[in-house]
Order: sequence, then structure tokens, then C-alpha cells
Amino acid sequence: MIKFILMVNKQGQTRLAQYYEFLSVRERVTLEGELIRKCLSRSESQCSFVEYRDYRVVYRRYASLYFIVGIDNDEDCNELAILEFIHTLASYSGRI
Amino acid sequence: MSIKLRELIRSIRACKTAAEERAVVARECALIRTAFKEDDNQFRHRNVAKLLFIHMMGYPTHFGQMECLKLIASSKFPEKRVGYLGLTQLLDENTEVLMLVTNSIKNDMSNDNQYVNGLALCALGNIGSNEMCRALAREVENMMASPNPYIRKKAALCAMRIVRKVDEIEDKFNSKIGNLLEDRNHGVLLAGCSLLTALLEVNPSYMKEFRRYVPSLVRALRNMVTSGYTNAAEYDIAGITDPFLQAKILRLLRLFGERSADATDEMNDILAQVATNTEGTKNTGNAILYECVLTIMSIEAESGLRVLGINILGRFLLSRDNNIRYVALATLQRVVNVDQQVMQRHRNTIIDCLKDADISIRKRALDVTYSLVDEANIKSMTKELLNYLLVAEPDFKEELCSKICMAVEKFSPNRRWQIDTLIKVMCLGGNFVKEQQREKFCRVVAATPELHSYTVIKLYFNMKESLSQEALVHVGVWCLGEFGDHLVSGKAVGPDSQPIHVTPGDVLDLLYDVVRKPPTGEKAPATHCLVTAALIKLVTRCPSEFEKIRKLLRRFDCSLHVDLQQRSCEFLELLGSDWDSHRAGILDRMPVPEKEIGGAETRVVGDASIDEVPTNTSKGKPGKSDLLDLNDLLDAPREQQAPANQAPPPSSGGDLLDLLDAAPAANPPAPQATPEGFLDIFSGTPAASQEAPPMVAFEKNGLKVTFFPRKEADGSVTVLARFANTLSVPMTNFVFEAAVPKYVTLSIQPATGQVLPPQTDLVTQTMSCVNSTNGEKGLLMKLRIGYVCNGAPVQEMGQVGGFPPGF
Repeated sequence: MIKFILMVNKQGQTRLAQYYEFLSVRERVTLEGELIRKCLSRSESQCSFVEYRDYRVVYRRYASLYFIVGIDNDEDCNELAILEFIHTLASYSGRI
Repeated sequence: MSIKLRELIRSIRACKTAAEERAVVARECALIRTAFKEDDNQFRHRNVAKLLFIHMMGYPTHFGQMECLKLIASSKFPEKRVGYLGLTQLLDENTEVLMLVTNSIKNDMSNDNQYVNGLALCALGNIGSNEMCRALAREVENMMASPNPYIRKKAALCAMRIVRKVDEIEDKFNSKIGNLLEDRNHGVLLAGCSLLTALLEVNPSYMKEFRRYVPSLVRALRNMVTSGYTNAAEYDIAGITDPFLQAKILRLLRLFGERSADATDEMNDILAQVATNTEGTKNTGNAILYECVLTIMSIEAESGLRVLGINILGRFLLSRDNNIRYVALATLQRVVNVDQQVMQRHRNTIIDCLKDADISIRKRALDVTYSLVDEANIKSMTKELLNYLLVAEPDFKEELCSKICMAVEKFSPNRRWQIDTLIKVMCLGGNFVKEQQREKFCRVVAATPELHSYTVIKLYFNMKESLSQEALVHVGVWCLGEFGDHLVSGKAVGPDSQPIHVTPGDVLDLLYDVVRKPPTGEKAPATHCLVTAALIKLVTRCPSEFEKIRKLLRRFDCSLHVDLQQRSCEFLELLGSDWDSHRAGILDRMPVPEKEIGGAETRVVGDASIDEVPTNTSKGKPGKSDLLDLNDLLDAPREQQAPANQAPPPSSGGDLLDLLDAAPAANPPAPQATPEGFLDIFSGTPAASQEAPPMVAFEKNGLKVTFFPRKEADGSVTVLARFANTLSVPMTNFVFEAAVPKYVTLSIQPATGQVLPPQTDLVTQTMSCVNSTNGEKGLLMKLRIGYVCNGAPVQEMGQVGGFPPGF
């Protein structure tokens, strides 16, 4: 199950955040800070899946915007399908 | 004057500093608050929209909550829309204000406009609380049967939340599911599948009832996969028809197929079809293939289908895309239990992944590698893992060390190799080896008397090379203390058949070095404690160095560390002359701890070409002499390897990688005695075996023999015989023999010791019996015991019949 969706620009500012389960504002801020740092510091050749706390995070970069989706851990979660979902979301919201 | 949302955004964007932005926002908030107080109807929706934007920026906006409610109550659609949007963003389900909306939502659900209905359903589905859901469940149920697919879809999604939030309400929705699943509209179908998944999650007992829908799901999937589907163009993504729906149906099939052979039968064809027809060139296709593989692995698939699945995974592994490799490794980790042989084929690829640049892939590859290790490939796999240990990051090293140690424990073909590998691990990652593993290593060494001198020599020379690895130093110091006499006895022979000369002085110097430069500065007292213990033991083993040892111990008697000070003072006392006669007894070798003794040690000691065990050691065990007769024990292939197997002499200890390379690639895995129940000690006794209460088998003249029978899962009986000496003099040359009736087969392991020290019951012997009458005739045993006590040989005979029934 998708737990949250973030859109972050290259400078690390959160442009859009949607959480599907309740997290306090402080928790959100910490989560975003750490996660953004992790994703942005990865190179092109590394794979798009990261493990963070008890979520599995799938991210993808489009121009200067990072789409980050956090899903439940330890499930038969299809990360490739989430990647596909990100692509669909991005193509229908922007000019890709 | 109310400004438009766009103006607001523009003005905020134009701010150069954070303070400026805060000022703009504050001013706008003030204006909005005034407008709300004046109850301005005209611009309310605009104000709420601005408030939403401000909320997204991160400022507090709770004063707008009531306004959202007023907007929702309005009859104009734009206002309703902003109202609902504000509701879902500004509030969450824990807010009490939410209850006030229930009535509005109810009215909107019965509105004529489908979009209004949609709004209401979305709002309920996103933040509905328990009470709201309960109140509106009936309406939602009705809307699920609406003729409009838009509404049906939204109603189904809303039902998902209701089912999750409200207990005991699932039955109401069960009847509607069937219709949803028969729908032609993909949106409704997708929503229906999601609802079904949610229902099954909430109440798995519905599985049987819903299984009748499997055929319709299969049909829907088949429609999408076969070409010529009429609506294909509408749902096409990258050449595949509606991949999201396909993935969802596959996942649902997985839930149904688990543990159900009938459902699986219905699915086999379609799964095979999807697996073969889907193109794996783009991510979309790969996602479908991945979902398919996950399903195949979870259901009761036939072997052909499983092989298909694993082949797909193999193909993924070879792909250049990192994402796909990651996913493949993650899945292999889960299916590795299922089919070992097929996995071994891909072993090399997996090992290559260990060396990949990407840390996520390396982590996954490590997990899979560890699961793949078994007796056959332990040697090459350990080589790879040790290579990896060299280059791993520090946070990885600890996990890696413990995994290697566990694997080595479970599968090593013989003792010598086990000790070798553990020493290597300690040399490479000594600071990360945990306490428990060091203890285990010591125990293993203590339990293998033949390898005492080999081990201590190896450790000595490794320590001479470098003192920086903590585990190595600790373990080495302990071994030096215990077995130092082997080292300096002059009888030790190196691999090149040259005797190794180590003087007691050298040993002392080494210990002195350890004291001066302990491997980890902060934990120096722990190291020093071990050194003091070793020193005192060396007093009996290297008597020539008495004075030096006393001087070294003196260093610590004023130490600030209490434990260290206590030890050194006590040991110094022990060095006094009144203790001369007792010292030998006190400082004798440590008895092997009981855990080792309990299991049957069927492990072979291994090549001992370096190991020379003089038959006149103080613990000569006649029972074990056949183990020392290596030529008989080893079969032909291993004999040829004997010369090849000699690791480069520990004295040249230097290049560890040479050691690793010498782990001969040419070694066929030798067929060895299976390490059996022994290892279960560490993983806990298998649940199937039963313990019986201990019984006294024989008691006479101060010797008491107690039997601890245990019934194993395979029907045999393992009896642990414990020998207690209640006299005050030791019994030496102790031999225990047993005979059984013809219907029982018996195998006895050698005793753990030939000497029973006074007032102890440490020595044990394990026997294993198989009763071919399966318990019809009870187990009987005749005993013959011989020992020397006070210089006089004693022979005893006894009979044991009181075994519990069924043994």
C-alpha cells in the first residue's frame, strides 16, 4: 500500500506531499529531510529502490523534479509497478 | 479587498527572504480571518483556496475549518468543490468537527449530479471516521449498484475504507462484489478488485466463498492479454493493455491460489500465457512479469510453471538495469527455500552481484548468498564471502561476520577447516566479531583436543603478525593460556616438517606486547583481564618463566579497573609457595563445556598433517585412536588432497589471501559424515524429540552413572550417560561399555574424558539406540565399567532396564 507521495526539487525543497496515514508535522519534516538527502545523493546508475526505516521507497527523477513514493515493507509489493505508476503520474501531470 | 489566489501565489513567489514571505502570509491570513468573521459569502471559496495554499506552505490554518463546512453546505458546485477539498486537506479523521459534515455528505450522495456524488464519496473515502462510515454505509452500498460506472467506481473505493474502519460490516458488501467483478469498465473492475483484496485482508475466512470468482478474473485477464481486445487502444500503456489492472488481478489470483490446489488449477494456463507473452523490454512489461513470478511462487504451482518462474528471474538477473536486478535478488531471497537445485545454477551471477557498485544490490545479494550456502558449496562460498569481507563497509562487516560464522558452524565439513575459517574471519574482521562467536570458537577448540596444538600454533603466528584485531587477540590469548604447553613443547611440527621452535620467552614477549598495545584502547581492561588469566595458566605450562609472569601480574595489582585488580591480586597470591602443590590441579585445562558434550560429535577432525598428537598426552583416549588413523578414515580423493590441503605454514602467516586461494578449487566436496544433532544445540532442540526424566543406571563404590534418555524425531533414542565420582580421589583410565539385546542397534561415542576428577560429574558419553520393535519390547542395557582408583583397577558389571515405555 502506498504510504506517501512526495515531489521534491533538486534543491531539496518539498513541492508536494501527500500522506496516506497520519504522521505529525514534526515526523513529516524529519522523514522528508532524511529521505530527500538519501535519494538526491544517489547516482544515475544506482537502482531506484531504497530502504528507509520501515518503508520501501521508490523514486524517479524527471528533469529537476524527484517523484518519491513510499510503500509498505514486507509485502508482495511490486516495486516495478510503483515505478510504472510514477511514470504514468508524471506523464499525465506534466509535459513528458 | 480580496485578492485572487493567483495573485497571492505570485506575491509569495516574489518574496526574496523567508521573513518577507512570513509577512505576506500573515497579512493575508489577517484579511481572510476578517472576511470569515464578516461572513462574506461571495469570496468564501476563494479565501478557502488561498488558505489551502498557505496550509501547503506549512503555516497554521485551523481557523478555516468551519468555513469549509459552510462551503460544503452551499448549493453551487465550485463552492462545494473547494469546500470538500479544504475538508480533506485541512482536517483529518481525528477532528471532532468532522462529525458535522456527515449530514451534508449524506445529502450530497443523493444529489442528482454525478460529480457531486463523486465529491461526497471521495471525501468519505479519504477521511471518513469510524462513526461516519457506519452511518453512511447503507448509502454507499446502494450506490455500488448505480447504473453510472463513475459512481460505481467511487462507491467501491469508498467501501474499501468503510470495510477497514468499521468492524463486522463486510457481509453487506459481499453480495455486491460479484457484479463489480463482471463489469466491463476497467475502472470499476479495478475498484472491485481492490475492494475484494481489502475484504480478504480484513476477514480471511471469506476466501472460500470468493473463490468462485476466480474464473471471471481469469477471463478478464485473458481478454487483456490476447490481442484483438476491442478496447485495447483505450487502456494501452507502452504496448500492454492496462498493466495496472493486470497486476491487480495477478495479485488477487495469488491470494486465492495460496494453499488451494483447485484454484491453482484454474490459473495455471493463464499464468503461463502471461509469462510467455509479455514483453520484457520496457519497465511495464517487467512489472507484469515480476507480479506473475511472485504469484507463481506463492501458489501451489506445478514444477513446470515454477521452473518458468525461476527462469524469468534468471533473465532478470542478467539484465543490465539495476532496478530489475534488485527486484530479482529480492524475490530469489524468498523462493530459495522452494527449489535449491535450480538456484545453484544462478549462483555465479549472484556472487557477481556481491561486487556490484550499488549498495542496495550488494545487500540483497548477500542475503541470497547466505541462503544458498550448503554443504556442497560451503568452501567456495566462504571464499567469496571472505573476499567480500575485505572490502565491505564497516556497518556491513558485523552482519557479514556473524553470517559467515553461522554458515561455517552449520556446514563445515570438518573441524580443522572450521577452525581455519574462523581464524581467517577474525584476522580480517576481528573488531566486528561478536562475543558469542568468540566463545563458540573457544568451545570448538576446547572440544577438539587433536587440534589444540595446531590451533595454538596458528594463532600464535597470526598474532605475531598483527595485534590489531581484537577478536583474534582475545581468542589467541585464551588459547595461549590453555594450550601454551603444546607451543613450547618443541614437539610441534610445521607443515614443512620442520619443528617449530617457540621458547616460553617468546610467548611471554607476545603477551607483553598485547598488554602494551591492546587492540582497542577503550576496552583495554577486558583484554588485560584475559591476559592475566592466560599468564597464570602459563605458570604451570612454562615453569621457566615464573618470575617474568609474576612481574607482569604485578603491573595490574594497582589498576583502576576493579576486575583487573582483583584478578591480578588473586593470581599473585596463587603464585605464593603455599599453593605449589595445588597449583597444577587448579590451573589444569578447562573442562569442555557441556553444550558440546551433549551432542553426538560425528564431525571428523580433518587433515592433521601439521597436527602431531603424541599418544601419551595426559588425556589419551583409546576410543578415539581410530580418528587419528587418518589413512583409514579418509577416502582416496581426500588423501591426494592432503598434501595440497596444507595451508601455507602459519609462520609465513602473512598473506592471508594466499590462504584463501589455497582453499583448493580442485577440491571435490568430500563426502563427510553429516553433522547432525550436534548443531541443533545452537538452534534449539527440535520440537519433535522428547526428553525423559533422568534415571540412575548404576551406583556403586562412589561411582554413579546417570542416564538421560531422549527420544529423537526419527524414532531413535539418544542416551546421555553422565558419570559422577563421589569419592575424594580421581578415577583414571575410565572405560564404559554397553551391550544391548539383538533387537536394538547401538552406537556409542567416545567419552569426553578418561579421568573422573573427585566430587564431579563432568564426564559424559553419548549413545544412540534404534529399537527395531518400535517400543514393543522395552530397551535393556548391560553395562561393563572399568577404572583405576587409588592405584587399584576395578571392574564392574550392571544392568539397566528401567527405561520409560515407548523407548
